[in-house]
Amino acid sequence: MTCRDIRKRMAMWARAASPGEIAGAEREALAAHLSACPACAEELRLLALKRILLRATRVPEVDPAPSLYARVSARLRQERARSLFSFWEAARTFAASVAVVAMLLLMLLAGVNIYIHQQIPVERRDFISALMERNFSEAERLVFAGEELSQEGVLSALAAEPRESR
Amino acid sequence: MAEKRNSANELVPDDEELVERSLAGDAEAFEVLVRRYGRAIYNVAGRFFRQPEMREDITQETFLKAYQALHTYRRGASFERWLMKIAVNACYDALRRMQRRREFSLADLAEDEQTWLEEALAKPAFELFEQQQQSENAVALAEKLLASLSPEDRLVMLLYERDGLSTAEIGELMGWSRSKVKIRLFRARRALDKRLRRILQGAQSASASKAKADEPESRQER
Ligand SMILES: [Zn+2]
Repeated sequence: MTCRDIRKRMAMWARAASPGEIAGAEREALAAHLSACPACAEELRLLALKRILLRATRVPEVDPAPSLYARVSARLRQERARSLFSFWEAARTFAASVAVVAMLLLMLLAGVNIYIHQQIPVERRDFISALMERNFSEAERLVFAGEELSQEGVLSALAAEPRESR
Repeated sequence: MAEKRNSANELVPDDEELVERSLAGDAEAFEVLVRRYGRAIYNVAGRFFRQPEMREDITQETFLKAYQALHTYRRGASFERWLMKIAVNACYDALRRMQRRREFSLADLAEDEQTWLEEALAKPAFELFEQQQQSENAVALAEKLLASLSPEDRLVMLLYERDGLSTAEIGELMGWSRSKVKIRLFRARRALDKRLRRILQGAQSASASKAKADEPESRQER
């Protein structure tokens, strides 16, 4: 056996999971080599110590204390309560954000309304108002009658009852 | 859905059904899973931690995480394996949270541990390799040695070298690629061997100086 052969095998033996015995002819060859080669003997010593120490950290499988299950259950109950609470928290947050969005929308509409009122001449504004109030027939009359669209004229027209027919 | 019968010939719902019931809000269904896998998880924690309190903490954390992530469990996959992944990662997180010892030093060993080490190393290498008997001193020494390793090194050392898991299995548990596992394994071996070599050298020079003091003429063993 050469040093290389020995080292190759050692890599296999290194794992504590592998069985501890080296059997038969291999054992004799290994013993012969080790007695003549201090370097390999030292390597095996290191490997042996590693195996012993790693194996020492093994803990036999056991049943946990019965109280563990009660402990886990209690923690899970707490978690369910917490997630229920956070559901309502989330619902509240959602409702609050909906309210904010609605308010922003209203503000935007109010802004548009103010803008329209500032930019559009009085006559057109009244025409739009009439339209908005669905007083279509009145609006139609105002447009087609060719009357002068003075503010008073429009206001009085709108104050009047909407006509029943064209 | 498939149901098994237990020894008392009662219908036992399988894991998948219990998961579905839990997701639908049945608290009792998840409790059944806790009782079914509690022991296994507790012993997974035992691969990394000796103290029962630590193992209980890990078990509780594992089931809590599993409960919170239950919607990510894929139907048809093994629930047990899914749970094991969570457990091993909880152990890994716990290892990372632990205060790491700065370095391993022979001076940190108790007298009994030192004696055990000297006696072990006085044996021929072959005999030491085949030694089966366990010792409390070896346990204490091993704990100190492992505590000086990084969490990654410690994890792969224990799972691969001690427990005999394959690199593929470790990769699956940890969500690491196989090459990542191999690199970590290489580094872990190097780190552990470095410490072990120091122990061997230290113990040899100690016994050599002792031998010199006892018998100045004695031939020094290599
Ligand atoms: Zn050799």
